[in-house]
Amino acid sequence: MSLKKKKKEGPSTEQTLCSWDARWQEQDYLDLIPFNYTACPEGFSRITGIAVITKEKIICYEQGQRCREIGLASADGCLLLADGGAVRIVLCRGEERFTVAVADLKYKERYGAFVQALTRYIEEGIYQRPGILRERVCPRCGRPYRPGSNSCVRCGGKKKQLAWLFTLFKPMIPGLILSLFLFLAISAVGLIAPMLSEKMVDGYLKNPEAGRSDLLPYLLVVLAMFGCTALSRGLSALRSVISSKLGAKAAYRLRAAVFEKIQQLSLAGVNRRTAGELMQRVTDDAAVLKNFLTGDLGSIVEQISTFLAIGVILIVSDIQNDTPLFLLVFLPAIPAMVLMYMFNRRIRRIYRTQWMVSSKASTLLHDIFSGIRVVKAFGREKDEIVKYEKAIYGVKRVQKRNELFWAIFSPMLNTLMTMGEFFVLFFVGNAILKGDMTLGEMTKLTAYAAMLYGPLRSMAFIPRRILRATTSLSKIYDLMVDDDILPHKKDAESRMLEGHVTFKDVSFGYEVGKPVLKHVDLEIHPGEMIGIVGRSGVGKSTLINLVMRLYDTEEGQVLLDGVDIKDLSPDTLRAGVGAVLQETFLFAGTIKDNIAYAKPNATAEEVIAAAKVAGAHEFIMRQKDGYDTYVGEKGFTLSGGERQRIAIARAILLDPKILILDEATSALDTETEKQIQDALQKLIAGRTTLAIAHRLSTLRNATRLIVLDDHGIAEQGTHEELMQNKNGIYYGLVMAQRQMSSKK
Amino acid sequence: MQSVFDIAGITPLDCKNSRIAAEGDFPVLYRLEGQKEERVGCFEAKRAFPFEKEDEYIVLLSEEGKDLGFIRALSERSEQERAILERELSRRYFMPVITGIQKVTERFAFSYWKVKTTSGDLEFSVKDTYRSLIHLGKRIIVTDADGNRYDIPDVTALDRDSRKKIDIYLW
Repeated sequence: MSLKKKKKEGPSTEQTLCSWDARWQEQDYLDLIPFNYTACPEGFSRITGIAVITKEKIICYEQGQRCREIGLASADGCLLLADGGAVRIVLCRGEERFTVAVADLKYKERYGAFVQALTRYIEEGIYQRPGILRERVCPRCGRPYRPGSNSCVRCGGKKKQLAWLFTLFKPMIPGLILSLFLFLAISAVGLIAPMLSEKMVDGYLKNPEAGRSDLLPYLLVVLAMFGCTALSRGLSALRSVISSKLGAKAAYRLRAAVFEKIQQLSLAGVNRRTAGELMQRVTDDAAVLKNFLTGDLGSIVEQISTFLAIGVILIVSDIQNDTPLFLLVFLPAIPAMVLMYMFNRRIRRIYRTQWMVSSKASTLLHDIFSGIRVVKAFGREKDEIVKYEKAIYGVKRVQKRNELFWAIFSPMLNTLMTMGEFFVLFFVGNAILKGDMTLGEMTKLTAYAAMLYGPLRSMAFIPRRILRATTSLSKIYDLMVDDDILPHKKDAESRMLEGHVTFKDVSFGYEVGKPVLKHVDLEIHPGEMIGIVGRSGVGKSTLINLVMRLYDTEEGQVLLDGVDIKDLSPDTLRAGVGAVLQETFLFAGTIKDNIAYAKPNATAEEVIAAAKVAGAHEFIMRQKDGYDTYVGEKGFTLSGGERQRIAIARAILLDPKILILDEATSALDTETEKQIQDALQKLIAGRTTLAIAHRLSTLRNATRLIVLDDHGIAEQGTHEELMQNKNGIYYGLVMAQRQMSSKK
Repeated sequence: MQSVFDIAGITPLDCKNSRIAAEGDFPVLYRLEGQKEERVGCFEAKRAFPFEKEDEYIVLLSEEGKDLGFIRALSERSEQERAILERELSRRYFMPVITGIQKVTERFAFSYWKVKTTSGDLEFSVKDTYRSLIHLGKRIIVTDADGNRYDIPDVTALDRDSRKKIDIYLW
């Protein structure tokens, strides 16, 4: 298969450079930047180019020709331009700009790393070659990984995948074997029936005297036929019971394994995939695999064994009787199978287009209904009707076309497929007329011939079923081997935290080349309340995410009580750090469950106490069912303020030494915010608190304010101290907010 | 009552209040006030309506991404300035034009394309193909897994074989 061909790897950048200019030695340059675009009147044209970074300058080669040099001595910065049709590394020297390298967007991440390295070189004089970036392309076949995965679905070792599946399903293997055996047994029983018909026709019907004189053997044959049917039905029932049990078990094991793995992944690992993608793996892919193991696999074995058994029976009888029955059935079916194979693409396309257009129409419908208020408010009903009519007209057109195709194609195919039956009939009839064959034999052989069509028909579908199952297996396996897990030290001790937080030269970014925090140093003492202030996107939430260890730092350390956060046991961390977030998520369950989420073993009294401190007790008791009031998926029955108070109660119940408030009250009206602030005030006392708030007045009790700007801490001090600096960011922010509120 | 335009404070960059020059590979904006000329700096040109109005409403952004104003139509500017802007736009919106499709195979929700383009023969992969195609009447823009775009200015003008390879995506 051409797809399996290993992609030839081209020469490395170093080798190419040497072939262009043999004078270059590894130690002469700091790094090489490959590029593949050069400017031309139409935009860019494709070339092969290398930019050589040396200590003093950057030398660019295009198609083997040395074409430009840019001095690094007076350079004062380096930019990455990446939101157009190409990525560009640009060197800045005062107001001047120089293009270092241009390439297509495949190079985006790599260029980001180059720019980072170059910037550091320009600023600090140290050049560190960017590490090998996580390639998004399979090194073996050159195909890109699916979004969020780290291995190739095609090349990802089928053997390893099967081994994993084997260990997962080990306890189920006897059951699986039994079910396979039953599949075989059913098909074997099915083979007996035609033999009995032969016996009946030849032994008794053709020769009524024999039947009349001795009724018992005749009755036995009839009973045997009944027995066959009964046995086959009974075995089928047994198989169904076993299969469904196995299926349920398999689905359970798969889903549990996949879900457990997802829960272990770091937030970054989870965020790389969409919620839909993850849901699909837990539900759909697991279901495909389950169906294959408990259903498809068995029926494939059954079909193949039936085909082989009947084939052998027919061929043996052909040899004995010198007849060509097997070929008569098989040969005419070949063109039908070829036709089916040829039309496979077309058929798939038909399913696909039908699915596409109808899903488009239903998406549109969903869209219109969700936005019905907007539609009504702007009086656009008629336009929406036109839009929807157009969509369903498309569905109608596709459906009509497809049904026409089916209406013609499927009878044609069936006729072609079963044409052999008539050949058999003709041939066998001829043999009977000549006296070469008995009527009973004819009954048997035509029955067998007819039975051959089932397997023949299913042959066309078997490859696709196997492919689908292996795809799902690969997708699940890919998740199972994802190593994006925040590692926990095995022997990490559990301890009580005091609330000392230290950032030691911490750098962090969610994407390569886009640092959010750079070289941050911060010391927070137990019991301090720190307000974190700054523009949106400046890294406030990132800072607290690191304290909660939702992510690990790239460089530097986050220490709690002097211990690296990576060395703390998960229990220590979870018991010691509590958070009230802006987005309050209430899980489906009772109010009590939601408050006790972080401490499921809390007593009823503890829950009530926490709710009281959070100012939630009263409104909870106003509900009909008190603490057992059921709240829906998003807690829709509660108002924003009420939900927020439940979230605060959740944090209070945990009684953490380090408290994190991320815009805990920003979504609330002023009145409610004040009430909640009072509740929070009680909570903050004596705890290390890190609070983010846009409304600066919320932070008036902070012992220290930290102003973030430009990837780091720009200012810090008390409110009064910061207000001294009339040119400071904080002063500007406060003034802007005062103006806003006085305008109100 | 003030009109929306007054509130927005939109004053297009025209020949009276601005000048565009090129410094090496990069375009630079100068603001004019009477006789005075002030260098604003390098800019990036971006179309406000890249699909519908290619030569109108060209927004200029500073290197930091700040809005510097917009040019209502390229035709308003001098020939020299227009050339600079057009060069800039042709780079920002650079897309190889697909002239023929040799092969499209689909595997595991990715499609793998082998095409002839104005930039030579190319191979690329597209993830989630249906959502990666932008349909603009007869024109189709394909975005590959890395974010590179490819232009098919008129699908109906492609040869029959090429069109057949992608017609399942054309719904």
